[in-house]
Amino acid sequence: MPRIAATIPLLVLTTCLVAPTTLRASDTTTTEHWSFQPVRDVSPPKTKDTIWATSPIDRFILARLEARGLTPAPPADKHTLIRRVYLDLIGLPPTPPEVAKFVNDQSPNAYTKVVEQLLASPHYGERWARHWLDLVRYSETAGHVQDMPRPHAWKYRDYLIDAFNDDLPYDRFIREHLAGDLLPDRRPGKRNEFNVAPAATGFLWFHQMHFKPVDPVQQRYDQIEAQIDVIGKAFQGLTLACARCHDHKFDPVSARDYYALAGILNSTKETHVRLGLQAKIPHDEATLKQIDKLQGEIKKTIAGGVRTVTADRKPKTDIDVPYTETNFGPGPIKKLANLRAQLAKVDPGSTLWAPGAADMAGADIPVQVRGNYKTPGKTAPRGYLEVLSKGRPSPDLGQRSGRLYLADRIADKNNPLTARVMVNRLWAHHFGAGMVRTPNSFGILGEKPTNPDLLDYLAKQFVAAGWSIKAMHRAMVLTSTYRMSSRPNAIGLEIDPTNRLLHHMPARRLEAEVIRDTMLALSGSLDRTMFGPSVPVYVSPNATANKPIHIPKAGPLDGGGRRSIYLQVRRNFLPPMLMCFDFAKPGESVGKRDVTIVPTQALAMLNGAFVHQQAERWGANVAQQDGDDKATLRGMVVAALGREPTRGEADTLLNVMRGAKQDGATDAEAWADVAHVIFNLNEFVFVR
Amino acid sequence: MSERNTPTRREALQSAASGLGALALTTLLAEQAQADARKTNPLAPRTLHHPARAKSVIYLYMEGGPSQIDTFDPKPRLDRDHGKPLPIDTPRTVFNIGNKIMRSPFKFAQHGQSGAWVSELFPHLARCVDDMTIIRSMHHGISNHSSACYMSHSGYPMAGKPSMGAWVTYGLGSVGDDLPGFVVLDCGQGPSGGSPTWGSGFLPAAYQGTLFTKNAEPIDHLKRREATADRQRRKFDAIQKLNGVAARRSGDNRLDALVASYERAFAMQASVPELTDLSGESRATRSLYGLDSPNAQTALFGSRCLLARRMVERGVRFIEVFPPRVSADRWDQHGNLEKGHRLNAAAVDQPIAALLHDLKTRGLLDETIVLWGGEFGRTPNQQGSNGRDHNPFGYTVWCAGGGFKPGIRHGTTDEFGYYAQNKKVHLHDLHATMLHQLGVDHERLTYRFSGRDFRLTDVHGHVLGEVLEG
Repeated sequence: MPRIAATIPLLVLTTCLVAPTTLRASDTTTTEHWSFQPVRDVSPPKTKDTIWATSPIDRFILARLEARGLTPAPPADKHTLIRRVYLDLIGLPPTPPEVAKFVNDQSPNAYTKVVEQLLASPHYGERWARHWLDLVRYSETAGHVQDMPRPHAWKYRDYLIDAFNDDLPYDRFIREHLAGDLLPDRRPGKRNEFNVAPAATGFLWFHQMHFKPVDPVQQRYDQIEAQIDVIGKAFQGLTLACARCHDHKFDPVSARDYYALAGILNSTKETHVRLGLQAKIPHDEATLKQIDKLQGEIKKTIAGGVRTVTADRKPKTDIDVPYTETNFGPGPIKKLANLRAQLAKVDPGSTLWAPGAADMAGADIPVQVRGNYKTPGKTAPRGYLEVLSKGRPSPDLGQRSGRLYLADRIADKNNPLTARVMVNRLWAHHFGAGMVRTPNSFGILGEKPTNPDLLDYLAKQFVAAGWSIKAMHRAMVLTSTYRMSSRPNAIGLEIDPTNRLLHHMPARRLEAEVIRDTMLALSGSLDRTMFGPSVPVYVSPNATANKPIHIPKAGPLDGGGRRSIYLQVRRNFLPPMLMCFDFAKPGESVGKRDVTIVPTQALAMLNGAFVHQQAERWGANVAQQDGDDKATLRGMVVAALGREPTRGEADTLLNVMRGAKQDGATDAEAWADVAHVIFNLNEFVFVR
Repeated sequence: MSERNTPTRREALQSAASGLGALALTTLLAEQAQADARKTNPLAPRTLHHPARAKSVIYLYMEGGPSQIDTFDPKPRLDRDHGKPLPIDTPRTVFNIGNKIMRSPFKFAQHGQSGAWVSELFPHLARCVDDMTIIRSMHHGISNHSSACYMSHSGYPMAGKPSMGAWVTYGLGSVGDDLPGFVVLDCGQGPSGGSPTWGSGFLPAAYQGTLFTKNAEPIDHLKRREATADRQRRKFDAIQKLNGVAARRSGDNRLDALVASYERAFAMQASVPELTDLSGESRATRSLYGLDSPNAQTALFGSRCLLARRMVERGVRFIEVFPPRVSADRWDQHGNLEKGHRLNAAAVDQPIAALLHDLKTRGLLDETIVLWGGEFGRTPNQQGSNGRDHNPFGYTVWCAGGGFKPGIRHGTTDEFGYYAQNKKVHLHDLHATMLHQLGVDHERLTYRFSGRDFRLTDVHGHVLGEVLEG
């Protein structure tokens, strides 16, 4: 069919821009790129000032400041510091008693105590799991026109929260992500799971997909590209997907490398991974019968769902299009949810599964010329990137997919990228920008590290400390660097205007989730319940869809008071309040969120129903408290900003309250006006 | 993250005015001023690579896939061979339909000076053909609605890449200070791609489309919730006072930006209702757009088109309009083609003709690109007894205004209307051409994200000189 072939070539292929200087994968300039070199052993440098530095990190920072004739900013005051470290580590503000306790604690380890308490808080996991969700483009639906739900996607979110709270060593974390179903040693979970490790593999299927593709084989390879893309960016800071069509233009990644990985993923399918054993509750005969019946129906529905997809268009190739429930039409999805809910009632153990990976018979696949599966080239043996495999024999993967091998290669302590990429992410969240300011891009097009010695020092420390993420948090936040004021001095601004040397802590706009969660906390609406199915997303009356049936049933305006990480993420109906403040859209792996300041945010804060609701609740609460107006106001400002109001601020805010009363507002309404003004203060949405 | 110490736009302009403003420096300073203005206002207007022929775009997106062979691309061969097998290879389609040829149920006639063929579906539009550039050789090869929808909008068949309107506002900003730069006008039937269709992808959220619905409050958060304006004003003044003090004290220009964004937001509370209030339009204008039509869908879509014109007048950069829901599926007639296409056409025909006429009368058509088209066309072979399946291999779109050559047809399909044949135009070419008219070199409008430089046109796209006025 020559005619068709001539019409199709542009179809779906991700291609990369050719920049003026095109490099080849074999060029030594690319293989010698800094990030592919082994992590160096670096000792903290000596500094002239021997008092300021309280940690090795500080010495690295200070030495470079001194070299440029700069001095670090003075320490932040305790009010600023406690708000900073709370929002940073747990994403919730300190309560007024917590502020007072810290401010009045004169012991030398007052700050350390706070840090330890925060790292031990279950809210820590909620905060840091969300950072990771950005990277894996977490979504509970598959997008496109039907935006089909991915049942039990939230199990992965719960897995992450636990993993961070338990300080799961990062090398184990990687191995569970790539091969949790294949690891020889199981890891029991907290909610009766026999083994939670396989739940991590669910991240491979958070990509978008069409539920009725005209070309399922094409879609299969598009999915594999999405999987390679997320693996490359999240774990290695590399854009590997470019190599689907041609050798990478800049980085030493060949098309052969790409298809070596694609072979591994093509030998992998999505499945339900069992996390638990059958419930141990003894069942009577009747119950057992009911369980059997429901299980049978579930099986039948799944099988039926598959048939609806591939019946008349089973691809005439040897590629098995694996089933996934996202492929189902709305009918089977609803029916399945219903059946599972029934089953869960009689057999609670039946819920202990998650979407995840399983091996199929391992097979190499050919390189696809220009990314087109219809033009196969030479076979690419499954394996890892050549540039990171020097002096290694090619693996004999046999009938296995090769995921375990891949996991071992990425989690290898000698992999030059793995630890660097992760410590850089942690650094970026603590200090506002990574040492490599492009956290998903450590390749040639990425930025060079601002402090390469420190980056390598930390990467080594990370591995040496058993890949403990919490140990890295301690190392970073217990520094003089982290405790600096966010007020820059004039010389610093002149010599280093973008603060690459860190002469002060950057002030930062808070993430969408922190803004929303903080409002809930202040208004007394925060429901601290952890885990479980997501709260249906609030759907504005102004939402639209191709067909009304595609608009989901609206969840509560306030998300039931749950933290933002528990709000359902639907690709076509992202949470409106979060979207306003640069929420990471699940279209791509996001290593660094945008920070925009636009009128839509101001409108949401001025006129949003959620914001008004929270202000009203807060107002109603404070109106019931005893004490004079000034004390009430003081309490509100401390709760919101971690500090006392100035006299001018107090006057302005009290005038708002009095003005409202003169207009006939009740106490609660008048205080709600004050609450509303506080929500709109720049200091409320910034951390200093 | 710290962006302080970069001069604000005002400072840059001041320094330009106070002695530094020699000619040699103006370009540099203008670029600097633009870059700085974008830090405080991402929508500050700017010029890019070459003088622009067009300032705004109106994209009339006909979701579902209007049939080329029943609208603008008549094929006598279909009449002749009706019922016979299609003698050409056909690709897999959504429903894998048979290959029986189906003639068009609609009569075609030539219109205007240019003699363009238009079917009876568009009696009003038929009078506008001399203003239209009809491209009958579109193709992209993506057969699913949502994938083709994303392709049409972002040049990529999956969600997550910036929509054309986002690219354009990222490249050019917007002139309307109190209005968004990229607006989507919905009639209650969004596109198959859902909200990512008008998303900003990896571009900052400031560039994503703002959805205006047909509801009384067309966008969220626009209306104050306080009982009286005074009550809101009191709070607003307090907010601005306290934030202004903090901004001055910190010297952080992001805080200035925040204060400024509140001023703009406050102004939008008034400017948007003023914009959407059509009562000030003359009876003649309202009638022209079909606002008094007995067909409620025509009236609704007419109001969207009228709104689009008002937005063009106010400097909105990119306006996209979705058609209303009729008592048949949107332009997606897998069955009952005749009835469905008639209903869909009746809803949009008069309003679109009115829009072209009105823009022209007001001298706005010249600087506004109007683009009409679906995500693909339809097959010449029949589905069921009276429908057609998707066809992304040869279909028709048309442009008007903005320096597109009026009264021409560009490209052809084969004699069955299945495949684009001569002067084939890929979506990337169309996008490149539209950007060109806006003063943008599609190869130079790039954005680096996660280690790659992205463009609307990927690595493809050629400006179609032939369809442009010299």
